[in-house]
Formats: sequence, C-alpha cells, structure tokens
Amino acid sequence: MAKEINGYDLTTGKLAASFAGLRADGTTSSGNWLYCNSYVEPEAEPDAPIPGNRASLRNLDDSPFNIGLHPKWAWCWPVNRRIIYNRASVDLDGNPWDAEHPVIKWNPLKGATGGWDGDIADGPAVPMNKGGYYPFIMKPEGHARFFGPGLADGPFPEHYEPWETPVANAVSGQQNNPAFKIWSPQEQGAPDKYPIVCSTYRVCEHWQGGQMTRNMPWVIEAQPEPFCEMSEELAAEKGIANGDKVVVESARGKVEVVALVTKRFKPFQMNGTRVHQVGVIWHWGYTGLSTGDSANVLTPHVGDANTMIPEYKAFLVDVRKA
Amino acid sequence: MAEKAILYDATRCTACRGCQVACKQWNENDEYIPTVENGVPAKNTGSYENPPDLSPSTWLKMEFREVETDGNLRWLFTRRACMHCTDAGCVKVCPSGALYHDALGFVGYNKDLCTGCGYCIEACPFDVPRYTSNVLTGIARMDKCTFCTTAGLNRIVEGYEPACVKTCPPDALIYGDRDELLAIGRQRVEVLKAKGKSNAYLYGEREMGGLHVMYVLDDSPAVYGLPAAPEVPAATVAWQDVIQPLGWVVGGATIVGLGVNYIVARANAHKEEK
Repeated sequence: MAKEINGYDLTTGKLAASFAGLRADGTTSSGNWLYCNSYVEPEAEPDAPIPGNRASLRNLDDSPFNIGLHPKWAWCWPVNRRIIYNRASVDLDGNPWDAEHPVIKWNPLKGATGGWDGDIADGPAVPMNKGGYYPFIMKPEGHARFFGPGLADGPFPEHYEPWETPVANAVSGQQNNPAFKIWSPQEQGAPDKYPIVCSTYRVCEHWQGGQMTRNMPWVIEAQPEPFCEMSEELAAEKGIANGDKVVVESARGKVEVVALVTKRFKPFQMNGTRVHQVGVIWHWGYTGLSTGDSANVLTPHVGDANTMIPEYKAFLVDVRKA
Repeated sequence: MAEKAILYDATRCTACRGCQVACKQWNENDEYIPTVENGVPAKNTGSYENPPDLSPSTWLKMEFREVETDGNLRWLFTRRACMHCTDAGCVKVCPSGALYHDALGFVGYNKDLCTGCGYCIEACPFDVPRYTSNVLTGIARMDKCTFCTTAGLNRIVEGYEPACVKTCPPDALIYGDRDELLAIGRQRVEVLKAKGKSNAYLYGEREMGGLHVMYVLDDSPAVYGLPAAPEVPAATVAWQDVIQPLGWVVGGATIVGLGVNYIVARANAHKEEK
C-alpha cells in the first residue's frame, strides 16, 4: 500500500523517485504526490530497516546543524523537507539569519555550481543574489502574509470569546466574533445558571457516534459507558464521588453519565474568578449493544465565521449528582 | 535455543489498549459486555481501566496512574499480564504439570491438565493467575497469558510475534531474543537517564531470576505499581521443597509399612494354621 501511494514509473515498473518525475500522460502513477519519494527502490535507500522504505528510517543523526530536524528519522512530505519555505531563514547571499541555528545554508563549494547544506531547500532555488526567487513559493508574490484575504472576520487575527462563556473578553472590546452564525439565539445559556465550561471529545476506543464500535463487544468492554471528566476540586464542591452518576445540563438539554474524577482536569483562574471545566465524550446513542446519552444533546448550534465549524469545544453547562 | 521475551517500553505506550483487545481476539477470550440487556448493569468504574481487573478471560490489562509531584502531573501506563518468570512460583507449585517452562523460557500453560487447585495464585508475586469454577459441575480452572502458545492458537511456533506485540502501533511492545531485548532495554534506560530521569530502570533484567516480559520505566518500579523486590512466598517454597517431598516419604513409608504388615500378618496366620 505504501508503495502504491508513493507511485511508480509505469514504463520501467520502478518506484517513482520524486514527484518532479510524475507525468499526466499515463506513464506514471501515484496515490498522493506529497508522499512520492517516501518509498523508493531498495538501492536508493539501502540502509533503511526496510530497504527503500524511508518511513522506516530510525537514525537519530542530526547533522549537519544539530537543530533537531533529525532528517534520517522516518520521512516527511514533501521530499523529506522538514521545514517548508525554509529559504526565508537565509539572507540574500544564502547565509542563515540565525547563525547559531541554521536550517539551511548556501555552500558555494558543493557540487559544480554550489548547493544548500542542511534541510532540503524549498523551491529549490539558488540564493536571491545568485538569481533565485522569493521563498514563499505557494504565494504568487513569493512573500509571507500577515493575513489571508477573503476571511469573513479578517484582515487580522483576533481573540473572541465563545458564544457561551463565563468571562468578558480581556483581549478585545468585541466579546464574540461579529461574523459567526447563530441558529437559535434563544438557546444561549447564561453563566449564572450554567457556570461550568464544557468540552466534548472522543476516546480512542470508539469512533464518532459509535454506530460501529458500540456493536463491537471487545471495544464496549474496554470503554463501556459515556462519562464526564472533572477535577477533584469540582467533585468536592458538588459532593460527587468517582464513579457516581451525574447529570450534565446545558441550555439545550441534559445527559446522565458517569463521573470520572481526575487530576488531569484543574480549575482555571480567569479574570480573577475560578472557572471549572468538564469534558464529555459523545460516542453514545440510543441503539446498539451499548446505549447511553450522547453529548451532542448539550452542544450549541454556532458556526465559525469562515468554515461553519461548530463550537463544540467551549460552551456552558452545570453538573450535579444524579 | 535462544530465550524469547517481550519488551514493554512505558515511555512509548499511548495506552490505546489495542494489546488488551488483540489478546482477547486472538485467544478467543470472552468479553464482559456490561449492558442492561445482558442482565449486567452498565458499569464504568470511574476510570479508563475496563474491565476493572484481570480475569480468566482477561489475560492482559492496561493500568492508568495519575502521579503528581511538585505540581507536575504525569499520566503513567503499565502493562499488566503474566511476567513469565525464570524462577516462576506457579510452575514450582503446579502439581499437574499444567504450568511449565517452555523451551523458549516463558511460562506455558496447558489448560487441559489444570486441576483447579489454585496453588499458582498463592505462588505468584505479581497477582496474575485468575480462577473460575463452574457452578453446576464444580470443575475449576485457572487462566493466564500463555505467551500466545495455546494449542491450536500457537503464534510462536509459526514464527509470529504474540498478538499484543503485533497490534502495538507505537512499538511500545517488541518481541525477540531476550538477550537482544536486554541490550535495547539497557540502551533506552541510559537515554532516559541522560535526559534527567535518574530513576529510570529496566525492570525484569534480574527480578525472579529474569522475566520474559521486561519493562523500560522512566521512574522507579513502585511508581508504576510494580513490586520492587518480587519473590515467591516462603510457604510456597516450603510446599514444593519440604512438605511435598515429605509427603512422598510419608506416603512411601505408609505403603512399605502396609506391605510389611501384610507379610508379618501372613506369617502369623501360617503359624496359627500349623
């Protein structure tokens, strides 16, 4: 499979060496051009644990500049370049701006016409003073940008509080994103009634809504019930013991799940107030071998200004012992 | 033949528990599905550790520990299963030969020979063997990890690694010659020590005469819930080395005594006849 993703020269049957050699005329194949160069002919990478498979490389060597790139540890796209746009780290002559931590450096003695030492140069062009071009090669002008055009809430990045939040925005006079989409304004929970921040997330034992994994006995056994993770401090305040049934309630609905009291959650100190956070997993539903409440009952219907990604990682709830 | 072993690197483990599930799948061990429909009330124990303990159908279980020192929280994971000791207490006390040392060093288990005496449970310093008995027949059986050598499901003779090792995504579990794994383990401990983990330790190099499941730990064994100096209980050794031989002596003496008694009695009877 890894070989298929790398791709072949179909005229010779050999693995493709780099995406630069891929053609749109049917003579080459590649599952993903970015991964081309990851699995080459054994003689091209003979020292890999699986000869030819550069993802299997496990050499900790960090030469020549020892800045933590470890170019022989596994492989990364594209063509094992560890830092993209890396020519932005050098001056017009190809010398690193930060001489102590060079990513790449122009070596005039390398090869016949000179070449780069260090990371795989992006472009790959010669230094600007030798006729090169600007380093941000995926932008028409070749320059870095402070902001991307076309964003609904641009031009500059800004911090906005979530739609439901226990605190005022300490960074900006604008509390929420002025361009986000709210479907049901009447469903907003107030911090006096719902003072606890809630995030929903997954566990690795289950997949999304659990339609597949909640019908898999061995997996159900490993993670048998939906839970709400909370700090020891919050559990003490609410009189909740580890393993108790608790009700988590938002302005939209409520779920009954098992309390999982953990040191991994700690109260926040926000704008001078102590704020608790809880976490609920969403994999459950009302059908299958294992059934239980889904955390999606709690979450708000808010769409991010540009992508409509919903605000499921930060909203308000209250928690009580069931 | 070179001894085989498993090396578990706690610093690589992500606690995905693929090993726990793969163990059950390969060895055809029943799951415990805590659903209301099964007549078993739903149960999350307030922990990521489910099922809550080893059992005759759970030979491998991952443990989770939250250790907080000086405000630094560490979430530590430990593999819990048979350690396959060289000086295995269970093999020593097993009266039926169900537990034995495989030629490759680890502790094999032939369930068909088990009489359900439960001595192995007392003899294990790691509290691993689990015991169940049939309510109707009263027939009892112990069960534990067989190093994937259960008859008919033997991966090792086929040249495969154990199921738990096969499934491990970050290579936290590796399988191979024990000597080679020892070298890898020592090297990793050195790397950890060089990074300031002064308590880093290769568990199983010497414990119980050498374990066939060894652990790379970035802290002392106790932090990971492992006994610092595991040993077979003295009573168990007494059983095998003193009481059992004594039993054979007493039993033998009884048989000899009965024989002598028969001969003397017969001679007396002959005398009376005359």
